[in-house]
Amino acid sequence: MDNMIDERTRKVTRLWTQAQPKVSAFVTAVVRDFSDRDDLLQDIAVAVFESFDTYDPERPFLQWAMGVARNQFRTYLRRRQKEQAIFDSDTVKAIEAAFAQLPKREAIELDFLKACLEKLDGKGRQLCEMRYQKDLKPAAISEALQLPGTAVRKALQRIREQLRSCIELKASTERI
Amino acid sequence: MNELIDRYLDHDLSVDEQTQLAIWIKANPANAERFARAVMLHDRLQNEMNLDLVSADISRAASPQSEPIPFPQRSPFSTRRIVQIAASIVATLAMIYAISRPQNRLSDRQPRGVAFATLVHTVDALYEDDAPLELGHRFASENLRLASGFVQLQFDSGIEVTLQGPAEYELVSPERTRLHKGILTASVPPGREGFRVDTPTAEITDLGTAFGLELDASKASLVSVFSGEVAVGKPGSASSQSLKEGEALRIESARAPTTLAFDPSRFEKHWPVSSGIKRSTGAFRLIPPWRRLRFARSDNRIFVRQEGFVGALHKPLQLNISEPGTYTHKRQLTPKTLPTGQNVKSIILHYQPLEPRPRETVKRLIGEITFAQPIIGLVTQHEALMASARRFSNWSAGESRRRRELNLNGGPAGDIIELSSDRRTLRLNLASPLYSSDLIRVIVDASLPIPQLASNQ
Repeated sequence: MDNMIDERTRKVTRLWTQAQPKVSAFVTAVVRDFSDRDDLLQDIAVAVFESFDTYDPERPFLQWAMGVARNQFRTYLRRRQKEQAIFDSDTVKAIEAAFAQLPKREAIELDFLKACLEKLDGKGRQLCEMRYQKDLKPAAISEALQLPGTAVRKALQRIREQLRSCIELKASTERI
Repeated sequence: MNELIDRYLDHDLSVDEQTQLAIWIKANPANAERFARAVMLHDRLQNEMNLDLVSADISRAASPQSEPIPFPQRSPFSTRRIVQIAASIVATLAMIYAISRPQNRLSDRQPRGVAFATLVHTVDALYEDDAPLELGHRFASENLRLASGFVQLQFDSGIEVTLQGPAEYELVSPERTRLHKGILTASVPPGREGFRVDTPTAEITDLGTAFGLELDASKASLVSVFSGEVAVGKPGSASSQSLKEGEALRIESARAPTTLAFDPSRFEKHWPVSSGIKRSTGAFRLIPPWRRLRFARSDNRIFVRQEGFVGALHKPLQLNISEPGTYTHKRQLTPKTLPTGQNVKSIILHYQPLEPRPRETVKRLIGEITFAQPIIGLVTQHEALMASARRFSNWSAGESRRRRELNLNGGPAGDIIELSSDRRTLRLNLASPLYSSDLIRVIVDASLPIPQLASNQ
């Protein structure tokens, strides 16, 4: 494998590794389907690698990668038919710009998520596993746990709120 | 607004609420940033929770003798972060490797995650990928590209899906699949409601039923409900339309759904496969799941229909024949009680001549039927037929009439039944004197993984 990896490859790999969490989140924001997201993210990664020669090193890599992601997203929509688009193109542009502008610390702060997840009680952990490991929607979770749908929705919202607060607290403590 | 964003991420917004969210995002870059942050958390949560599985696998694989390396939890370079970066680099390198090859896409056949369905039956199946799939193949999240023929998958939950090629079917999760091309029939047992099949133009959510789905050349989805009810919606739409037994709907991308005449003939070739029948002689006629059997009559046909769904027995089941052999007398019967919890599928064989005939004229019907999965046993006698009536479906098969049991008296008007030594084939020689008719409940093993069948054929 070493022989295959030249300097250009090393560079694009390093830059892509840094940009990938935000590009991934952008894809999550605009594509509903879990497996479609994986496919699209792979298409974006391939496109980033293939068109890396057109990247101007004077510009931020993330913005350029977001542009590639947008183009791949358009191709995806054409392939999947337009009515599947969740958001209109102006909204997608606004979301794309927001991700491109998010400060670097945003991704770093999320590193505290693991410690915050460990603070969840058994029920919270179970809900997270059902929602995020098994990709079950609240309706399916409520059926599996024999709980009202609204209770599951509220519980998931509370868990995310709790995690957000925990991350913010840890990030501020760390900065101090 | 946080609630709206959360519900968006849980796919729980109505169309109106989605529009409201879009307007809010566009209204102000700060709103878009707030939305982006929420999605970052959601995305990272998904990664973290799935990394838990990866980390657990790595821990299990690690040598028990090796000293654990303590990583400070608050370091931005936590184990988890290192795993994430490593995963990202590995993914990138895999991508580089993939695109540096002449064929630059990874195979769709590559499964992802834990397996949740099994290939239980095939008929003339040819695959677009080179290698054929073995019976008993376990499916995780992966694509199945069928060039021609039929395949039947049994999900661990008891859901059965039969595909007719050419077809492309994507298994996403135990509850969710996607049909890109072809014809599919699905049977979803009670308690497994919520199973979903998506197409480019529709999302079909099963509400406990059997249904058929076809994608035509224009990618319109044609949904037919054989029993029970399904909810049909457009992709991404929070609203859906209920479709009941005997109803059919065509869903196109640019138009409102249109009601179709219920015409199940397009699924006709599915019934032998979906019932798990490998082959049969001409005397047998496969009946689709919604047809009532008890009134079906024919002088030269034995009607065959699956009863209900695959599932575990919730109480013991009494069998009259449980061992291979030829049975001509009641004294030869090999009764057995199947215990609670055994996974089975029930198939009814029904023979009822058109008209009663004089005592001296006995009509005989001879036939042979082979099942894809082993036969555990047969219910052939009145008491046991009565005891098992409506156990597998809500419909009676006419068990209450005593004359419906096998007449095993060894005489000229007696029935003869043989269960082959490999437990796959039944040979029937049925007599119908006077008002007599026959009913046999075939109990097939539906436990997984199934044994390889090829060696037994």
